[in-house]
Amino acid sequence: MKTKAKKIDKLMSVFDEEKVPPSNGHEVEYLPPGSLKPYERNPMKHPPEQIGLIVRSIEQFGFTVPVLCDENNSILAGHGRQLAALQMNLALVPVIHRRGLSEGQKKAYIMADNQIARTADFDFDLVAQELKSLAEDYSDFDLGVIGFADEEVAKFLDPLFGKQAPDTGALLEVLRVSLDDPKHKVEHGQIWEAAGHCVACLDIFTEWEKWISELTPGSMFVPYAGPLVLLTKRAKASRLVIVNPLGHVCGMILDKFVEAGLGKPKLRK
Amino acid sequence: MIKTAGKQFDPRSQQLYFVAVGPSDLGAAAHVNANILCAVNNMANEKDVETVRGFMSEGRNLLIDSGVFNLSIVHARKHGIHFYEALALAPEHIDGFNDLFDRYVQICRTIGAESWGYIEIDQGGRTNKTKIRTRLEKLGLRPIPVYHPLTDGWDYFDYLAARYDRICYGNVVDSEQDVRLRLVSTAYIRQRKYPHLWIHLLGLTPNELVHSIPVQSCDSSSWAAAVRWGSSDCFALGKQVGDGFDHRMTYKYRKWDGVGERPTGRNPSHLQAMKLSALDAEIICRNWAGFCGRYREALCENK
Repeated sequence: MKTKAKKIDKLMSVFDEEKVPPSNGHEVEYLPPGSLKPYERNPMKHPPEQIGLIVRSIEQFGFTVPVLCDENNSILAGHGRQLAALQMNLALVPVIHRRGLSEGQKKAYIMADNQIARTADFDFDLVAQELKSLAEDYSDFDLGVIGFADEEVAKFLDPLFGKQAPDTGALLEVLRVSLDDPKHKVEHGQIWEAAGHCVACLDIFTEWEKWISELTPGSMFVPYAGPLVLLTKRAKASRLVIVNPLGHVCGMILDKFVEAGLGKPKLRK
Repeated sequence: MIKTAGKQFDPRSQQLYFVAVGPSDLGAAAHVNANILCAVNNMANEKDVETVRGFMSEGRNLLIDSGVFNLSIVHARKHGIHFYEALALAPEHIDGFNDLFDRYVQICRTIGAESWGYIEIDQGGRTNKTKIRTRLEKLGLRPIPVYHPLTDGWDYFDYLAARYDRICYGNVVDSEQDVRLRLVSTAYIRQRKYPHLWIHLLGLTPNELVHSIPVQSCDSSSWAAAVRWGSSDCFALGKQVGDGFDHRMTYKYRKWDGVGERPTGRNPSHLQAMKLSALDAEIICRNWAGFCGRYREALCENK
């Protein structure tokens, strides 16, 4: 009985007046964003790209977190949200006031609000699962509003993510080392497409008229590439126009592309 | 004309790329690469020599490097001088030169004749290397002379080109891109006076630069550089490799910190990356030979 009583006491103790955080009058007011004063020495930088992301977030989800100000409408937390609101020409933004802080407390809180949030970390496996779920179940949802860069989203959506840690080189185990005839039988004169890249089995000198039109703005010309060319960073950065007169080399390039799980090449008709 | 040694050498073959590193790493390349280079300093014992001999018996062309470049670097580090200064020193002023010379002679006598060739001991500039070569020739060896365009003068190029069937051509790899292009172009133009001459570019990987100029052969260890470090940015084979691969190609590499015994266990991904880079190097080399063949045909068609 004594133990049970102790447990109840412990549970009730959270309601002790001293242990309940003071509410400080958390009433949301709506004020013009221009009337809020940014802290001049705010050490947190808000580059235009971040403001752009906040704008997209507000457009998608609404202004979900009020700006926190002191009694003089000086911002304690939410500098980025204010800048986004100004950029969006919002008439009013929700504001909560925290009154009674000393100047030292304000100075510390402005940093603490950001720094404490930064100490949390993602479970990247769960991030990948959540992103995949969004991509599959809500295909019209713009994943860009979450704040991950496009290449990060692509990494999380990679079918191999989570199954094989990115720093173990597990993909290397998948790729075969072989000079045998490739599985893709590429004939001279063919042009293949692989995830937007062009693999043209044509002569550089005499058949340039057949591949020159592929060199659209933003494309990179890669003559005589090796079999791993589509697995390189530059294949991620640019559309490659790979021209090689040898069918078996083009076949190897397409083989490695498939082995890496990057997609299924298509022969252009 | 002095015919340099090495019965694997066929002057009719064209555009060879020699992949270079020590015997253990060449094991990864020897599956797919037709041409390999191994330095004397990498053949520390008879087991190493037998390993590279084994590659030759499997039909791989072997080019033997003297290893004096490595010796100069070690000397430079020890004495706190730039390695250019060390390379310019007379042999008697380089630590360990006599040992290297003896080892070089021993290895060349053992496997030199059956190899593709062996590069001379290029130490101390034009005067010293000529003396060393003369000494080697008196011992019955026939090394391939080394020419450095930035320090030897073009008269020395003509001197060597008129007398030898092959020369190695340096200074390219440590030059800026525009200088590289001029050096290689000049070699190609001057070579026309000597139709018999085979030019081997030292330390260069087949890339877009080499593609455009059909010199006969080159060598480098760049094919392995990316996989040595696992995820560093390396440029080789005319493109970025290593981190140039997308993120899924990177792997953990246990780098030796120099303390204790060097780790011998090899990460399977490291070995696989090594093999894939070797495959890439081989295909690039075939491409190069194909390109140069088409280039010659195009020149003939336009004559």
